[in-house]
Amino acid sequence: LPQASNPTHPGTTRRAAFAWHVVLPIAVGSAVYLLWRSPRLLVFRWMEAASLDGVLAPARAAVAGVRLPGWLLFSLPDALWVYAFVACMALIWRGRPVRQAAFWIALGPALSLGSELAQLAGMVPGTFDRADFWLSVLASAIPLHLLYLRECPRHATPFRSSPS
Amino acid sequence: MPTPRHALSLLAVVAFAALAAGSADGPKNGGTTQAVDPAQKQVHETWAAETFNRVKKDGIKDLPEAQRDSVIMLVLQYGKDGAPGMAEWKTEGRRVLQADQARRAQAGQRAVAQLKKEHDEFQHVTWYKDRSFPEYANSNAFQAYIGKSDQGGDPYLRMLLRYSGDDWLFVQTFEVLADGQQFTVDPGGHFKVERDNGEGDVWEWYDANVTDADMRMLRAVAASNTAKLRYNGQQYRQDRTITSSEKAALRRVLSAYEALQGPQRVASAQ
Repeated sequence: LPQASNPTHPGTTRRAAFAWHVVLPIAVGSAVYLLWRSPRLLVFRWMEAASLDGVLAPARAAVAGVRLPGWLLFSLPDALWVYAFVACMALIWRGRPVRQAAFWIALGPALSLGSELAQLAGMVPGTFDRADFWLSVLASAIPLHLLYLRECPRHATPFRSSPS
Repeated sequence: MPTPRHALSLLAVVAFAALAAGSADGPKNGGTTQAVDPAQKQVHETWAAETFNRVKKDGIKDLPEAQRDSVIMLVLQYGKDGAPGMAEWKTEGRRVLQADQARRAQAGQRAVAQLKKEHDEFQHVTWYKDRSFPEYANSNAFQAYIGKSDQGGDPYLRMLLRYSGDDWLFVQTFEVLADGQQFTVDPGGHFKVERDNGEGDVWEWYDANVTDADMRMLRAVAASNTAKLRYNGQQYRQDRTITSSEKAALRRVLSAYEALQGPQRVASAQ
């Protein structure tokens, strides 16, 4: 029988890794938004425009009895977005040197963590949330390690000026 | 030099930006950003400090439910972080607030599912009404219902107060007595109350957006054991008891209204 592939194994196909590390987190995060979050969000206007609100209403009613903790409701979807972003970029730039990949991979975490820190500094509206911040740090670090750094060409890392 | 990887990355950035945009608040009707008045902020900070001193951390959950949210929000927003015990108070406050909101959201979602949903394609509005909402005009009514514009924005609450009988009252004002609390609904003129008749019946009704004062009245009625409605006419008046089924319908609509507004994120001032 064929063995199930490990999505984090270097030999795993990019497509499987994309499904596990990009599509799945986005799907889970979207499910939290669509089923539990405020219907005032823009995504619900899109659902209405796509005539999908009829499907959504019974689904929201069906899960109405499921109580989610605050961090799962508010912080996890954002962290999953960061995770998927970093994973997506890591997969695109897998095997390429850090100096080429750094900008793209860092873009998502920079926006997410930057906006949290800007809230802390009072530079943008909103309230700094520690759970958001640390979950985003974790969500950036895990895919970076699993999908990029482990396969990063050693000779290309900026931490070594010359091959030993 | 740009490569296919760059193009793919740019495409991914656009896709992720679209996803992030979806999580933003939808357009609001006439929403404005209000500047914080420093004097008002100082008053709030004083109230927050008094509340923090008066209500112990373990007593937060025992506050009356009607006041609990506003008390917690006040301290979360204006409580000074340096004060000893403030961090623990805020953590407990956030926990209680989230539990309250989650419980209300569940009840609200169930209430939304129970309401009748009617879309008016001319007015571009979806109306949410209780299933007991009277279909015909020639009946007494004490009902609230919700409107939601297709263009987005917050849902809004309306109320319908209607008298029906054999003879005209020419209703001028409505008075509500809910467990001893008295409220007056003044439509603001004879012609703000609409009138019609047919088949030997007459009916007069007032159908308007709910003001803050009306909201207090509706909540009091919804929570009351006994509530009465007085139609004050030009010469005569008529009283009736607001039925338990009308109060139950009102509770469902208010609960659904809160759910349609969505949960508010609990402030997490550090």
